[in-house]
Amino acid sequence: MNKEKFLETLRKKLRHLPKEDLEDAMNYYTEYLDEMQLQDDEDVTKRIGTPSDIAREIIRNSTDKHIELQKEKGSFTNNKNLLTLILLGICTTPITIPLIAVIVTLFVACVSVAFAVVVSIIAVGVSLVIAGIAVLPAIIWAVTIPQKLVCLGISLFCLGISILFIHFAIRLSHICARTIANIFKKIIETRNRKQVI
Amino acid sequence: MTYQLTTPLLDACVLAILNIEDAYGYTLTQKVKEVVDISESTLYPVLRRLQKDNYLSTYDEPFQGRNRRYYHITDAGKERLDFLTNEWEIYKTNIDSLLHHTAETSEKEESQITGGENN
Repeated sequence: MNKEKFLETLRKKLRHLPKEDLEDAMNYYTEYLDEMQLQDDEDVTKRIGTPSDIAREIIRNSTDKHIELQKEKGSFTNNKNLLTLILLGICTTPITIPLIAVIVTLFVACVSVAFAVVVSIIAVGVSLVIAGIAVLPAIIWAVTIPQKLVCLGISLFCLGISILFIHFAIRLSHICARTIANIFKKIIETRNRKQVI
Repeated sequence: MTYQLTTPLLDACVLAILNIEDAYGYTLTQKVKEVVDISESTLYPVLRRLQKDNYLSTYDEPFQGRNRRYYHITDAGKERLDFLTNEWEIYKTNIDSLLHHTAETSEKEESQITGGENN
């Protein structure tokens, strides 16, 4: 991007800063880019970085100072903001509490469904094992050899499929457990990132 | 770049350069870049902070229709520079003595081994 676009983007990214900090930063970088004596359409970001990088540095350093300044001005302003936030929080509870309840319920429902599915697959597997074993005595009782072989075949077939089912159930439960863990990890990560900033 | 430039050290470099003569953002950055590889966006927060701590003052001078903001080291800034320079000397000496002492010791050990073999 060229110089004009760069400064435009930078100003946009810094627009939430206090006016003094914003103007100071814009002055510095406008002056800086002028000194670089760029061509009209030269790509500025190759030499100086992106507006995002620069904005991030400025905002990071600005918030520390802002917090210090706020502390100097006195704690009354802080308390007023805090009180307003608490009142707002209380007022919106008719919305937030049911909303949270819905989300939690949905989550519990999904987990329960997944659990039920896994359990039922295991149940099928176990019942097939039992069926397979139950057919075994029939081999002895069968009169002719082909009949014995049929019974053996049925038995082995049941046992085979049951192994598949149980294996599948275990894989499914692993996937579910990992997905749930990832969801929680993402929630914790976004919270941590918010605190760092 | 093997060793990182810490904030106090960067402060010291900026103050040292301005101690010689006033400079504006662009030349200041280029001078620091001669010694240490920093990005173009590193210096602005440093300069702002030094200014807020009253180690630097600024004044504007027009140049070819635009404005140049010059940074000037204050007396407090000069004191700060003395302090940081002193700290750096101590730090440098300590590290040097450790690095050279370790090199010397291993040299001595090698010569003892070869001396022993010759006997």
